[in-house]
Amino acid sequence: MRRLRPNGRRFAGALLLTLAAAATAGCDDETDEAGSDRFRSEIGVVPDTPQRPGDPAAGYDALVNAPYVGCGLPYDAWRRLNPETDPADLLPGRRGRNAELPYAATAHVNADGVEVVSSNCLVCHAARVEGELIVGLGAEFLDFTEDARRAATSAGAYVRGEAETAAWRHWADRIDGVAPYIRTSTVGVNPATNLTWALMSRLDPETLEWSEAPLIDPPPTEPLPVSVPPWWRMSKKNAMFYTTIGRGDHARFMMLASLLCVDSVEEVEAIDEYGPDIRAYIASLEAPAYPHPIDAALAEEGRAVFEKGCSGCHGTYGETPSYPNELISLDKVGTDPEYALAATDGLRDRFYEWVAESWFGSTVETAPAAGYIAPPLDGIWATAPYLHNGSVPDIAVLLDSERRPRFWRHLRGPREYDPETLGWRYERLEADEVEAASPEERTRIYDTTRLGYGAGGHRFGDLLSEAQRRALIEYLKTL
Amino acid sequence: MMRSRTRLILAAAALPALALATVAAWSALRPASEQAASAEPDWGDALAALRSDAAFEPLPPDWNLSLPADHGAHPAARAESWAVTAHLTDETGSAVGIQVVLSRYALSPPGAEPEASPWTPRALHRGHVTLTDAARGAAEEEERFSRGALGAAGHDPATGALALDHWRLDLPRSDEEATLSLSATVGATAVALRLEPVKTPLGTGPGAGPFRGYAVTRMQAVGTVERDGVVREVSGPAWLDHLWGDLPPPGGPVVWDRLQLHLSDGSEVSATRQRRRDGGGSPAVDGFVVTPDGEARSLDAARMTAVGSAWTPPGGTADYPLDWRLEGDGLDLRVTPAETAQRRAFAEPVWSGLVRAEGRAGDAPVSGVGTLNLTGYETP
Repeated sequence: MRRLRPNGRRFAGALLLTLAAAATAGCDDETDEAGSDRFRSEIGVVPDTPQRPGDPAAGYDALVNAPYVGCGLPYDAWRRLNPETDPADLLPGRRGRNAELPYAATAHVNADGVEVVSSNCLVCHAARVEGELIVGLGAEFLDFTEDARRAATSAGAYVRGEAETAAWRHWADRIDGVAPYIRTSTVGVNPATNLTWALMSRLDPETLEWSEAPLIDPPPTEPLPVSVPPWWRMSKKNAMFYTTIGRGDHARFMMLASLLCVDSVEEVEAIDEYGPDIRAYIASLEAPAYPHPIDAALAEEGRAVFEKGCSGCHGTYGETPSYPNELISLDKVGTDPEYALAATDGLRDRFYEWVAESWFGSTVETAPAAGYIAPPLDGIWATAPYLHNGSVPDIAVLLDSERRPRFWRHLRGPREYDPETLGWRYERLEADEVEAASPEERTRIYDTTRLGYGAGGHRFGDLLSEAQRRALIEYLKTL
Repeated sequence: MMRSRTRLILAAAALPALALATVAAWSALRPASEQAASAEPDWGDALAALRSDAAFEPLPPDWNLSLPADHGAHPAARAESWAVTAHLTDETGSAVGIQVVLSRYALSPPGAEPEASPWTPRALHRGHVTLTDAARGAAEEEERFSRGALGAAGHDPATGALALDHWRLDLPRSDEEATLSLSATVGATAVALRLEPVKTPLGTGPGAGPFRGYAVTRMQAVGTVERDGVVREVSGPAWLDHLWGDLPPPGGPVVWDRLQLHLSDGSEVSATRQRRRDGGGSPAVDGFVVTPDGEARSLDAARMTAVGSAWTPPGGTADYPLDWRLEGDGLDLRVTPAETAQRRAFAEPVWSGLVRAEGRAGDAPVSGVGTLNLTGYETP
């Protein structure tokens, strides 16, 4: 028997959209065309910035209950398209309708009295590893390869009545506006940065009113890929995102996730009431412990390797941790430069200008650097694939650059975590196999030869012996 | 050259496409329906049920097509629809197109509460037949409703018969008898067909979507069309769609254009374009091609474009685009109506009828015959 593919994937895609927005500002760029230093950060140590205080408990409550993404699909249609909720997808602390929705969906009643379901931050910022759903873990298997507009239109088949239709139209209009800019070529990579720019191209910076046509040039349609970093690193980081573009008030940067649906400054001001609480919750998160046995003696050997070769950029761990907040130049780290270059080549300065002119601009500054932050490595075991673009499938090959695959894909059915290599099991492919793959199959293949998808650089592990690498991996399990 | 995509899976898009016939069917249950509302005062209540959260069991996520069992009814599903579409010719080569759709919408889940009486309706049944007879230049249609109480409509597992009044589709009950039989009348015309599956059924497969189903995109139909005592022998390709689950309810803000084609090279095409009635947003085209050897390929990236001027029925207001171009996966087809006046005066009117296709499949010229359904252009 041959099969029609069920439409679950597609409608899941529609939901992703709603909240790919929440994944928010990936980041970008530098100096304006005049060559000034406006909107740019220097390589080196990222200075600390005071953050508004917040209540972590209230922040969690808002994170999983509040309507910070203000538009979505009417509930009745949503439920028809998503008839079942896996009990494993329910989260504690959810109220009302949200108590019965999967973690990534939030319901609220809009101004017209229509209950709508939106995707929330957890679409991109919660994921499962070794059977546990972990809030804050970046979702590395989302599928943004489908045209979101199709799903948004099709979902209308289940929408009824004027009020519901208006709510659906509001959501579908937004999806329609951003869909061309968030379609990735590869399953797993995230287009949040491009999404943010696409939204800014349609919103009046002063009023936050949505425009039917772009007000400034939208970003390129091909998103540069990013891997979603885990939230628990935020407690150590002085700036947000890979290029440290997110300077100033982190809560407001996080609120850029709400841009998908806003129509007014009043709406973001209302969200700003609890934004610092959500930030405080995120900053309170701790990395999940490695769930398998660890060879303590070997890990101790690995600690020495780490502290000799890695701590300078990634900090120290244990009783008295330290983290240098060090922005590394492209020359030094050598990882795929496209993302940082695109952030700083001046072509995205219009978006930084947008932020500066907008309500957000009073407390945040968009200032990327032509380099990448060396992240804290807490909970690194859970965060595969690695590097800012998710181009390296596990730590074993991260530490041995010659062995990194040029073409690879995650094994599925089921997906399986490898506790020894600290990554999801994958297979290598040859160029001719990639060539022969169908377009559908291609979307599952990570092709490191694509622009922005490179797996080079960060070759520091090459200097280690095989025994040192084994010890280092054992130590990384303890972080 | 045809692209070498060989995936066996049809795109997600195929499902809404298959659902179209049912959407058209349910569209007839709208309260503005004159004959329905006056003849059957409980249709309004039934509509209310469309929005209820009645506890229908979710479809099993691990479902895989199992025939002949899945030919029959799935009473646990909220709704179900069978649609047979046949593109026939008579002895003189004159075209006859017929589409028969039989649908059920449950008013309450099975076993939800004891039935008050055997007269209590558990489901609404709706059937409609469209006939286009090129020899007479005639397009006729008929629509019927039933509450299904006391076996007046629905599927009888004992006999394999799916019926609504005297419209009847006999479904196979064993591996030995693959043939379906269809009998229906439209006005003074009686149609009787035997339908022999030619291609392997395409199933939706397991998953968490709102409905399940399958399509047999090519059956060989042989039978008769009788009118005024004159019997004509007819034959040609036919298509079966069968869906069950939570199918899209009637009405709504989306306009559906569905095209089903039997092409001369032995392939079939299903393409559905959905768009907003308000004109906003982007159309979504879903579809698939079934190759002569039964392999299915996605047509989701296809362009389905109305070309030329639209047709407005006499006295009507809707503009029906009847000339189309379909491009994708090596196909480039122009589709034109066999007859212009194929608007069907159902409770929610539709344009539904016989079309012809000409164009190319890869490097080879191809022609075809098919059915086009334009739903949602006229909202009561």
